[in-house]
Amino acid sequence: MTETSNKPVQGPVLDSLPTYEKAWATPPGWRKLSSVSHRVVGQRFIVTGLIFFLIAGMLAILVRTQLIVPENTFLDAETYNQVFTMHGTLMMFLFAIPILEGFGVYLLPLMLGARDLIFPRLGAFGYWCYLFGGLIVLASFLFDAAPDGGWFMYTPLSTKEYTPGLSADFWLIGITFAEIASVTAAVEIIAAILCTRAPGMSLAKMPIFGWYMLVTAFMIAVGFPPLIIGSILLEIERVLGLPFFDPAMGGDPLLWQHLFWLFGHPEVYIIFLPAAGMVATMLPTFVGKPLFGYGFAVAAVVTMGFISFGLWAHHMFSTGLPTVTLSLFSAASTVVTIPTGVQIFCFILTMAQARPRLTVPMLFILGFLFIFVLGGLTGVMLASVPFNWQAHDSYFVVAHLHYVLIGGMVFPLIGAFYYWTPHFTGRMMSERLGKWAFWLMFIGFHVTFFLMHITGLRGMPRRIATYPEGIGWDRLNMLSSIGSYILAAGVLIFVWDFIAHRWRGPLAPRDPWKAGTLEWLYAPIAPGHNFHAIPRVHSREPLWDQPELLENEAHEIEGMLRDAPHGRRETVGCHPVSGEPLQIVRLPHPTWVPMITAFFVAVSAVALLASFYYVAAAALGATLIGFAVWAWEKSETGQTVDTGPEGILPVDIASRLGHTYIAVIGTLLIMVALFASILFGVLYLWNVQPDFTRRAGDPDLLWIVLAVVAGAALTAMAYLARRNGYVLYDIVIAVLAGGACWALYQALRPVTPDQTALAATLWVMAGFVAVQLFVLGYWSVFNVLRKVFGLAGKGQRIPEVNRAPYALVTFLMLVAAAVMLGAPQLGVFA
Amino acid sequence: MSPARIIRIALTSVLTAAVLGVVTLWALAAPAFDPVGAALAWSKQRGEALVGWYASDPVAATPQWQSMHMRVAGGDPARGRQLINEYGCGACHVVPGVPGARGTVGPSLTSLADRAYIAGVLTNAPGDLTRWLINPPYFSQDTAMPDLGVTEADAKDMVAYLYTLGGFE
Amino acid sequence: MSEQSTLGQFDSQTSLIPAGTGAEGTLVLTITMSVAATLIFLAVMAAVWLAWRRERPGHIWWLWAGGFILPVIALVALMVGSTFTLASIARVDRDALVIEVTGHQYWWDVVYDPDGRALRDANEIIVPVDTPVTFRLKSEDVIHSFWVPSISGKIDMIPGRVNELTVEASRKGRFRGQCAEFCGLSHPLMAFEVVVLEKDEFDSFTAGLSDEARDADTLQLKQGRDVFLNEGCTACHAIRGVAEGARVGPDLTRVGARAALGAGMWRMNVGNLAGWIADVQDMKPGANMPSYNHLSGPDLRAVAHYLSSLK
Repeated sequence: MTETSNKPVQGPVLDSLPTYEKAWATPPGWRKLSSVSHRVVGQRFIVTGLIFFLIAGMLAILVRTQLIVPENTFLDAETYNQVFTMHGTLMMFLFAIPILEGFGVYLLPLMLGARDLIFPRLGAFGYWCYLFGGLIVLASFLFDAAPDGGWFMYTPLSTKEYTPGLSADFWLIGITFAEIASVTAAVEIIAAILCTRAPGMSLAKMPIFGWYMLVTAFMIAVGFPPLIIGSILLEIERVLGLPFFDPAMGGDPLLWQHLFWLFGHPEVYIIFLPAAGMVATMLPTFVGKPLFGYGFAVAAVVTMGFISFGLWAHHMFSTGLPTVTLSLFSAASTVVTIPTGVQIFCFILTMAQARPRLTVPMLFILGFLFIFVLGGLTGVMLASVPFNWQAHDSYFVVAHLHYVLIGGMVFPLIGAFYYWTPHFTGRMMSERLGKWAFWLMFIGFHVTFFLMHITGLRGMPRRIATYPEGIGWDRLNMLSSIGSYILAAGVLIFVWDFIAHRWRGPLAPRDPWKAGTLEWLYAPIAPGHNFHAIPRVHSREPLWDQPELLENEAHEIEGMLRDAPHGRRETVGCHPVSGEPLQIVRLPHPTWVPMITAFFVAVSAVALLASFYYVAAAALGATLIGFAVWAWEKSETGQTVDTGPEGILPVDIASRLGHTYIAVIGTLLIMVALFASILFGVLYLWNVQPDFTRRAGDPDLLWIVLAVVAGAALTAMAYLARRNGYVLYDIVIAVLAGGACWALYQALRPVTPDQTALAATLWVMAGFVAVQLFVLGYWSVFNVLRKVFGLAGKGQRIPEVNRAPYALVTFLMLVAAAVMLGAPQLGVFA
Repeated sequence: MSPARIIRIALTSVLTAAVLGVVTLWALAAPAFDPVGAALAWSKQRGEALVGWYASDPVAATPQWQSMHMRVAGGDPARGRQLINEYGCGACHVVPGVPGARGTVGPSLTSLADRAYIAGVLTNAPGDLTRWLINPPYFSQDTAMPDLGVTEADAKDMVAYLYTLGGFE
Repeated sequence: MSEQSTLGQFDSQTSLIPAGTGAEGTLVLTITMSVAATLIFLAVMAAVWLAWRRERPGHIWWLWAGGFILPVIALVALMVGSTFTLASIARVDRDALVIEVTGHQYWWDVVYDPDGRALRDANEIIVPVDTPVTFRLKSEDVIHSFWVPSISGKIDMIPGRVNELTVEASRKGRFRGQCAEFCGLSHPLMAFEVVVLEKDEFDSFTAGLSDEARDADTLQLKQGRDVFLNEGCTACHAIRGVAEGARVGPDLTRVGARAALGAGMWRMNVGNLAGWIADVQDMKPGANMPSYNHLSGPDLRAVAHYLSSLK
């Protein structure tokens, strides 16, 4: 073999269609940073996540080294607190979720039969937010202001009084910023899964990974908002001194815990589900048979998604909740074992169908089954209240959570790396090194964490930098530390393999694992457009059941959109349920706008940290302009494209089945969850200390009514505007939105927010509604400009169609806020 | 399965189980039960004796007067280390080998054996150091070091340990 | 009570050798659940092993058996056991002896009979054996968690709230407890000791708690008391009969009688006391007490001897 032929090749280069190849080409050199392709963005997520994983793993080694002997002086208490805080923070927020979303971003279009994710610029924007947010959090080390309040940031320890300085602000601002990436990716994944599947791929024929990611995305959309709201409240308390969590002013430190665990518990499932989806995808490949009980698995995943929101209080069993509440949450917590059990037995029964091939990914799957089942069982033990009182915040919980997270997520993830890396690089990773990595990780893991169960039951609490000699923890800790070094060695072997296989690994053949899902259609590396023509799909494992797909060269396969004479990026938009083609979705070309916009958000966050409030406001303004530039495009609704076998389809339809409409619904889900979190705060504080309800003054009832009236009128206008896109509607809507904001402000003026926690929360609630109204106003003004400049003409009414539900939801929020504002003085709920 | 394979699997399992069992027992046992430490100490002692026997050259050997005069008659360094922990010396002094002894109130006792004077008033000899530990204010009125009620036997043991810190041994 | 502290005492802080009814009930549950979990784990792994060797599809009933029936049986059993245990240990006893414990960064304020005589002590809790005791738990600053593994599970101490925990110690002894909720820089150095005594010993202990502190009867102790009074210690610490009222720091009336210093972290003796006073911030970073490193040597010794004499 010659030097040149030993390099992996990207795609077939077809001289006959130069415009087509050019349209999908990734810009060369440094301009690759402007790429918005899901392949590039997904790999960025994965590599960045891996780097954060290594940093966080290094911090874990520091922790274990500190604890190897009693009363160690390797780290002082302050450094130790920073190290364990950052270990948890990086692992949870900057490694686990982003890297799994990265795999989703990379794999979903390939599996579903799309040429790109549906909102490529949003994905790129999310990545830059994640990167900049992560860098802000990491930069705290440079300023010697690393967060040291634990990854859970419990109040009042994290308030200004007990954590002066910037460390907590770095955490709150950086993490909230990075979370933007997670929620934007969630919207994008929801819309992509529902709207861009190959023709014929109904939801029932969707690869199982799609289901797992769909449920995960919905859970992110609902699960992250409580933490975002909690972080905003805490940051406001730190900067402006509003007393949300101060019991002397009618607040409650437990409000933070409720908001945090409303996020924190689903978070665990958000991390587990995509990894389980990877297992469900890889396992059938090595068995050579489809997943056993597909329908059961889907039902189990959906059930799990719902149940996971009802368990948060089991992290708070020792806070003194009433016994009845404890028992209810205890019972609810155990119920989650049923959908988990169903999934595990789906996997086991899949294996029973034929003798599996024992490859490296398969080893990691077996490791996953072993470790995760153990972790799940200790989880059930922790759901028992009396046991929880002993084990909570002890090393038993440390052991449990690492069994669940490393077993449930890291093992499948590394298996997934071995499985899909050929797709990224065109080369196979080493089977030999993979086995070494697995066994070192597996043995090291158990030595480290199994013993911690005993350490915990022997009374060692978590998060202690030193422990006294001789009370029974010395040897267990020493062994745990030694185990952690073995575990780290396994991880390093994997990382080395991941780097070195790029020049040492053998070239990957087409469909190297004999898998059944569409992403293996091309020989690695698949070309930038994923599918030269998008084939019709008749089964869940098209590569197994449709022999014509692998018999031919990948670029010769029959399908839709074979030709692209106009040089535009486009893919097929489908019906959300049936998967039948519905429209053609035009996709953006490489652009710098998402990166620049994210940069402005970063400037705003940094300026906020440095207390340059004018700079922060200016940067936020620049961000809004960035969004406008981003959306400043000529509407193409009404055009048609000849797709070949599926006939002529319209471009970008203005309908409730359109992808933008579904994305707006996804966004509204996030907004409603945000609002609900604030509402939860209001009701909670009202309930905890009712005597504080009216101490800060009463809102003005007349102005409340006026605000609601303006909101009602606005919503009516938004619905009327769907019929015909007169500019007048937009102007009236913008004015009404401004008016409603003004009325809300007037209504709240008699209420002093720094007097009581409830008053402060009511201001936040009104502020959130005002933001919603501002979005509507900004949207409408932007719409006017587009029409004035001729970018949107008659009949091109996507914005109008999408704005209507947004207005309706905003109006409902306004009504809810009005009730909360007016109720105390009317004595409605007294 | 061939017999060789069966034997190999059986041997591996037995070995693994044995290692796991020993490690678990060791991990769970009280600190007083220290077969590993005892075995290490024993082998170290035997090893040193062996090396010493080979290395000894009675003709060339000269007595180490300096280190010999630091020897404390009847002092037990291991018990001394324990006592240093219990009397709370570590609150003020850094004492290598004693967990948690990292105080910065008084001088570090690292390489104490190399010092010429104790607290600037007594020579650094076993007898003087013992007397100092029993009642520091008697020798230096303005010292901040309190008399801790140390008995003579305890003081001797602690001195024996403290003289292991330094360049001579 | 000047016996050995729990420092360095093997198994003084374990939930596996219980000394209270709460810990005993929980231990039975722990063992039962561990055995059940091991059996279920082995069963699932056996299923994996069988599935690995099998080469034709299993019946869908296996999914029902493993995914529904097995978990449901296990869960029902667990809930029944757990609820009965909970009911037996989470009881409320209105006649129980009440001891109020307030968490501070990083020490424990203890008040016996808070509704009556309000006898104050710190960092060491004396309870009678075989008698229900209700701890009334509060916090003065951040969230702490009150945990004595040998006696009972933990309950948080939350600012603005009062949590109660009723326990009954079942044997005499000295047990170590520790703050279990991360509370700041010196969270690892926030421990305490629980001493379980016979009922009559306990009564004489509480009777003694209203006495004034021991007199300074030698020249050095008098000097130490004067240092204590003149150096501003009384702004935070109270010693009954000498300087009363301050509640910012632990009550020192019987500090010399406690087995440990600095919230259960060091043995109580003159050496540790002197080092503590001279350099608190080194021994316990972030504590609210400043390092008194400006005292003259004799003054430091005197005050250390004085405090150590308060028994």
